[in-house]
Amino acid sequence: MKKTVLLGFLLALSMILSYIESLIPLSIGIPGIKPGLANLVVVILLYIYGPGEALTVNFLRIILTGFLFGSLFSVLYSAAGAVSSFLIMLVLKKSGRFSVAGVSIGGGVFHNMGQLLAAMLVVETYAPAVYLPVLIGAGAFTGFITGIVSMRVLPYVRNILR
Amino acid sequence: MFDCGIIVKKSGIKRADIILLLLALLVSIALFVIIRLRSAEGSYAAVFYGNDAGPVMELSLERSEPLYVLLTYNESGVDFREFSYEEWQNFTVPDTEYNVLLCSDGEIRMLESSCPDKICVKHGAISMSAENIICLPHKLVIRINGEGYNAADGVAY
Repeated sequence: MKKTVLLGFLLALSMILSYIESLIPLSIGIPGIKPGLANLVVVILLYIYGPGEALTVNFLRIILTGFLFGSLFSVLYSAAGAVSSFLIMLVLKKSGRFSVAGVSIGGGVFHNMGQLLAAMLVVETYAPAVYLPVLIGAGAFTGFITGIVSMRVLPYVRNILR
Repeated sequence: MFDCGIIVKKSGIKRADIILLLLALLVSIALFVIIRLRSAEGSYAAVFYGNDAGPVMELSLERSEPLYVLLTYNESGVDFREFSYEEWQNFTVPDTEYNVLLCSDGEIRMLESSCPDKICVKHGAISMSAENIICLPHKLVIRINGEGYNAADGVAY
C-alpha cells in the first residue's frame, strides 16, 4: 500500500519534471535535444525498486504528459526513446561495471537514438540521421548530468522510499 | 590510462563511466566530421512527403529571383503553389495546415509553418548536400541533393 502511494508520488514528480522541461525554450532547431529531467525519477526507481516499477511509472508519465502537454507524435517518440533507453540502462546496471552516472549516460544516448529511429520510421527516409552526431553527444552529456544528480539524491531517498 | 582518481573517490563515479562518456562524445564528433566531409554545396532541394519513397517536388537552388512555395495538405497529398517576391507580399496564407519554403541565393529555408513546434522554421537555411529540414508534424522532409554526396544512398549512416 505504502509502495503504491510512493510510486504515485514519483509519477507526479516525473510529470512535473517533464512539464518544467517543456517550459524551457531550446530553440536550436534540432528536435529531441532536452535535459531529460524525468530520467532522474526513472533512474531512482530502477535502483530502489527495480525494472518493472521504473518501466511502469515511465510509461504512465509518457502517456499522461503526452496527452496533457504534447501530441500523439510526442508520445510515440518518447515511448520509442524510453524503451531503448530502459533496455540499455538495464544492461549497463546488470554488468556491474558502471555507477549510476554511467548507466544514465547510456540511457541518455539510447533515448535519443530510439527517438531518431522512430522519426526515421515515420518519414521513411534516412534523413533524420544527420542529427545522430549531435543527439549522441547531447544524450551523453545530459545523461551524465542527471546521472550525477541521481547519484547524489539516491542515498537520501533510499530510506524514505523503502 | 588517465587519472580520474580524485573524481572517483569524491563522487562515486567509476572509471568506466568516464570512459563511456568520452567514447560517446568521440563517436559523436567522428560522425559529425564524416557527415561534414562527405557533403558539398547542393544544386537542388527535394521535398519528401509522408511515406512516399520518391520526392513529391524538386526545386533548383540556382535562381536569380527568390521563390516562395506554399504547401498545403489534403487527403490525396500535398498541393504546391509558387510565388515571386511581389506575389507573396500580396498574399495571405489560408486558414489550414501549411508550410512555406523560401528558395534564394543557393539555399532553402522553411519560412513559415503552421506546425506547433516550429522546429523546421528555427532550423534556418540549408545549402549543403545531405542537409535536411524536417517538419515531423507535417511529415515533410526537405533535402539538398546533387553535386556531391547524395544522402539518398544512405551508406554513410
